[in-house]
Amino acid sequence: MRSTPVLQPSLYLGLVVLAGLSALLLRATPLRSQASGDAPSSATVMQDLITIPVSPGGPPVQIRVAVPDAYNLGDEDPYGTRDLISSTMRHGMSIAGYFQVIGPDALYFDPNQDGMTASTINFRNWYNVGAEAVIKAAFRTAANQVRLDFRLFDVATGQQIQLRWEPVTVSHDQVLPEVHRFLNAVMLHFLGTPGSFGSRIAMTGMGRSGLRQIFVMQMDGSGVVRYTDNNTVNVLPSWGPDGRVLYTSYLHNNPDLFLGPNNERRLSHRQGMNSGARLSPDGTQIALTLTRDDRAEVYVLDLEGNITRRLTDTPANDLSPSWSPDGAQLAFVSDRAGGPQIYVMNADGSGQRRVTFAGNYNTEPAWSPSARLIAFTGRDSRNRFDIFTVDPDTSAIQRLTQDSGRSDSPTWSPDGRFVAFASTRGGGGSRIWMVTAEGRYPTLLTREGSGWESPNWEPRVPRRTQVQP
Amino acid sequence: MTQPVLRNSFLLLCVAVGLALSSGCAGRQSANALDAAREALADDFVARCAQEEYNQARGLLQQAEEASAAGRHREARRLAERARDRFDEARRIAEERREECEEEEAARRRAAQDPGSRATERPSERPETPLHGSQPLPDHDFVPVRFAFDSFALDDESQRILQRHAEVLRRHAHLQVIIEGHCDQHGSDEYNLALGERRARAVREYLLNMGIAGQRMTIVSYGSFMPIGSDAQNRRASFQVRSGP
Repeated sequence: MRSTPVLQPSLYLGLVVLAGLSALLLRATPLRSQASGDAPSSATVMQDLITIPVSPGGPPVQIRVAVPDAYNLGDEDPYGTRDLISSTMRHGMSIAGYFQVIGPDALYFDPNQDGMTASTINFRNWYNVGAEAVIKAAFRTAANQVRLDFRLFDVATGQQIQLRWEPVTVSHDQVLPEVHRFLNAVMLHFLGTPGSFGSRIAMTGMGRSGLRQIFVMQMDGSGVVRYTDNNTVNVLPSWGPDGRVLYTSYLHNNPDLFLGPNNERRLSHRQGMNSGARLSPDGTQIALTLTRDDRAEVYVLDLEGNITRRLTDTPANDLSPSWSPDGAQLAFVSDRAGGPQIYVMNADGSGQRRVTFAGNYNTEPAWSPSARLIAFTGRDSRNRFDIFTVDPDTSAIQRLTQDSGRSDSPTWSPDGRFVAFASTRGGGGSRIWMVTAEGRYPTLLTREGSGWESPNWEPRVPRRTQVQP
Repeated sequence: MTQPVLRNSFLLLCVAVGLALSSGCAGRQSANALDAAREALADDFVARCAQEEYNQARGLLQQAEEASAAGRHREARRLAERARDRFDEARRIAEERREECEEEEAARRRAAQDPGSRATERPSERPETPLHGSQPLPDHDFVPVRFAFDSFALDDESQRILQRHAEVLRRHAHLQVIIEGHCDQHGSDEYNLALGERRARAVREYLLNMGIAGQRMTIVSYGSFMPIGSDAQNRRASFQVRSGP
């Protein structure tokens, strides 16, 4: 242990020289030695920490839609249908991001003078309040059946817009799903793809016991229901087969995988972690993390809980799988190169490669249902957790959230237009928010309380049941 | 020898600098960086007023100490420098909220004098309640062991604690122990679950090496799902002890 004469004359000078040299050396080598071989050469000189800002790219364009109160064509409204329709439509359009809602408070005239047809609507009035489109809704209740008629009009042309939605008669408890379907048809008209209204979000919240429980809500934040109610910890929910929720629960003092409300079915109870379950897009397999061999690895189960494949096998932690929309690949997290990073692999475990090279703590990948994009939680240069997306082919990263508390656990809407996540933004504790895939229009989804974490969005909008034309 | 002398000298110089980097000099530089980081981190005010950032700096420093002890000097220096950077950030944050922080501390001191509020004062100091079985439990607090940020290494203090636990377990062969791994609130839930398991496993391995039979010990990770206090308090392995089987 001797230093060379070159560096001895001045310890200070030596320090400076060394710092400079070592900075260069460290730049040119991966963070930890294990990383060699993982990273393409372009990544070896990348920044150590994520410093990318949000880049929305161009000014947002919002369509102004008027949503006056619904007409009751009958005598009675025993189910409060008028409020349900009007408030669901206004709230839905307002959280959809691309719209500005003009409600009844903004009107200087009585919209009830209008009829339900183009020839009986005074479009000049709507034009004067700045509306580009008007949604008209009417209903009539008879016994427990409700007749629904919703229409969309274009103010500039004074014409009704044809939508992929027809007036229907439904039982009163199907009014809400029908309003959601109509809104999806409106989204299809304006944006080219249907919306995600009617889908649900599973999440965790604080139960009466003070421990985490599973909850399910409508994506618009309404109808929160408790899915588990026990004396232990329940975490990491995701949507499983038949519209039921998979989650990890400590009911038997081990993090076991359960399916269905109130710990209905225990699917996997290997020693250690049985967590991060994700149903394949074709609904036949479940990818998850097991630590049965004393380290976290990604496995695939059949719907009975039997192991059909082991996908990873490294001394490092490999966990948090997320299927690509065609089911041919999975994204996952591995710390084989030091800190946790996002990787992808084929569905048989072959072709494992790293896709994130910026930052030193990237986790919770969620593969978009409609694009070659993986959302993930990254820790940025100021040690804050935010939501990003990465293109698995080019490793190009985009930031979706910034400067707004802690944000994590991203999950895509079924149409791929939005990313929901848990965030402490805006104060008021952890709640569920969403932004567009470009990071625009941050919108609070949960309506009450806080302590909401770990959202997972139902991958498709439920189908219509028992409809009479 | 027809090679230009100048070139040879240059090569020699390169070799010399390279050697300096990889051996003695690296050791001394890492020691200096460690000293500097230790000195900076002695600032109590920052520790109290920017706890989160300070704890991250502490974690890095601890990793640096471990690397240094293992002879990995270059890594040690890098970690020590990162600890310094993180500490500078912590100091900046602490200075920014100095007034707020001092008010909070005054409020805490007032609360501490009020016996009614003492129960919530330091939740981590309460030992975890053991499950009572058929035979009496020994008069020993199975206190939790702590970990650095994103680490499952057992430091000297943790090892001393585990040696005491092992001694009690040896003397009371009827005791069964559940080792719970826990993490702080930062980062991915599932990654933390894996980290908590590594912590619990590290403790189990240590006790195994101390002669405690494997069948007396089970492990379970609760990741970040059961916080009890500050980040430093949450990064722990705790013990549920009962008479068994």
